[in-house]
Amino acid sequence: MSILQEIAENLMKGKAPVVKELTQKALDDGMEPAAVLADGLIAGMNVIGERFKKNEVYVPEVLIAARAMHAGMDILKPKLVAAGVEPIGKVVIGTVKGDLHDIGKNLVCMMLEGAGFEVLDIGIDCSPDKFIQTAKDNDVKIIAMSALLTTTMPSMKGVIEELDKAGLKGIIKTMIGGAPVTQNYADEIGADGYSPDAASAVDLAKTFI
Amino acid sequence: MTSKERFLKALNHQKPDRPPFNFWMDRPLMQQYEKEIGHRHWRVTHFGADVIETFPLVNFTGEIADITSWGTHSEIKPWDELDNISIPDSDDPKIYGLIKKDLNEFPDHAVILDMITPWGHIASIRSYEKIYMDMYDEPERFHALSRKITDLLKIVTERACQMGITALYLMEDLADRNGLTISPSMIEEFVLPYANELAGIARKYNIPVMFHSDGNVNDLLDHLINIGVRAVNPMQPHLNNAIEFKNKYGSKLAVYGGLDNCYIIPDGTPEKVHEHVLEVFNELGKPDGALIFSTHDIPAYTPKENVKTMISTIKNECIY
Repeated sequence: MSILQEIAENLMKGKAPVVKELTQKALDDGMEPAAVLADGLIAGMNVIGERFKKNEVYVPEVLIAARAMHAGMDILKPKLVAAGVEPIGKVVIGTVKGDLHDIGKNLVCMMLEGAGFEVLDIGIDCSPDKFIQTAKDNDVKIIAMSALLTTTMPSMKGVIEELDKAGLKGIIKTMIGGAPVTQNYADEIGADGYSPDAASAVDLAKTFI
Repeated sequence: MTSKERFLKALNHQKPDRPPFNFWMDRPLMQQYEKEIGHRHWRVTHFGADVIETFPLVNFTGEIADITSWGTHSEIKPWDELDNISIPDSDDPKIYGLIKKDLNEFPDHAVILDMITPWGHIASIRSYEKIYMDMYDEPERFHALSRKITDLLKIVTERACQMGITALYLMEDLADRNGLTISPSMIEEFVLPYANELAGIARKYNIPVMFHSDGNVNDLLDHLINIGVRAVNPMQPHLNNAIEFKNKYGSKLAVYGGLDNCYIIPDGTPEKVHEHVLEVFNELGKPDGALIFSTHDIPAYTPKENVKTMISTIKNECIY
């Protein structure tokens, strides 16, 4: 088994210290940071994402795999920056105004990072202005919004309305998700996309890049 | 027929006069109704619901009492602190105050005891995100804390059974719209053994056990039957196929739920709501009567007319 396969395998098992050690070793052996990222860390997270979609693994396994990915990224990130490796896309993500729940949002963050996106996580209880300003300041073309409560879902519409007022609707794509959110609701408020789960959110975000 | 008799008949797969019912809404909407009607149990006093959900006032160190927070505001105590967590005194009368009050005030209604599982209490203390990883990182400490919490909750459950609760209602979200959120083996190791100890207390008193989990619970049902659960909630119809459920599990499990709070009740016309209630009645309530109508949280934007239609259809047209 190649060292990159080993990284992927250990990532899938959530073995963060091993992933960290192997990532360092791969770099020490002269491997390109981009290859370690693509064929080691992202390859492992892709498998986890697919298994998650099929209910072959569950939330805990995704969380420990993501933690292992972060352990590898801690080593890899400075090298990627130095080598000028760009993420496949950038996403601003947050839970909407009034909503303090973040497990689903965090899962989406992990899946997006695992697929090679740069994720700007602006946290919970985020105002439309915070979403839009962060996207503008960082030249981000995708805004992802999460809500767990039906009472906070209208805040998603608020973000889209503010984007429209700013002339950015369609230029910055919006994607929404969360337990009570539906495709119908996405259509109703004019969101560019809806994802029923964290793994599918990656597929959706890829269509926007 | 009293509400309590109606409820017990449904749980026992015997036809009552009509299915008993209850319903839940977004909390701000419920608070609004409570303020307008002027009674904490306005669903019973005003709308004629059959079920009171009462609960013990048990809070562990660091746990947030607001049940709608799902632990997202927890203090995320480090395990070093949790190893020596102080457990509430089971003799504290405050724990039982609400149960006593509800049982006294509503002797003819089904007064069921909402009991968050030990796993859920740990989630409230640590946050769900943390405990998902704790099961991998700190299994021994997780079990040790589960043991302490279970031992207290067993005493609380026993006293509530002696006070006369109608059913024990274990509550834990173990699924989302796609299925289980944690693996069956983790559920078997970390959740069910402790839930089963609580269920065992109720069984000793011949008090039925019910279980709540949001989401698509198909892969959970066999596990629940194995610990003696006799009814499941809420069986959200857009995530769980009612006909398949009835065919496979209908002889063993009643449904406390079945109504669609996501699409039809909030977004449908009153005619659609009427049609939906009758459909649920026919699919889950027949042939054996094992249906207690309820909903997951009806959204705040739901037209009042739809709620009225839901209730009037249950009361006036779902007749056995």
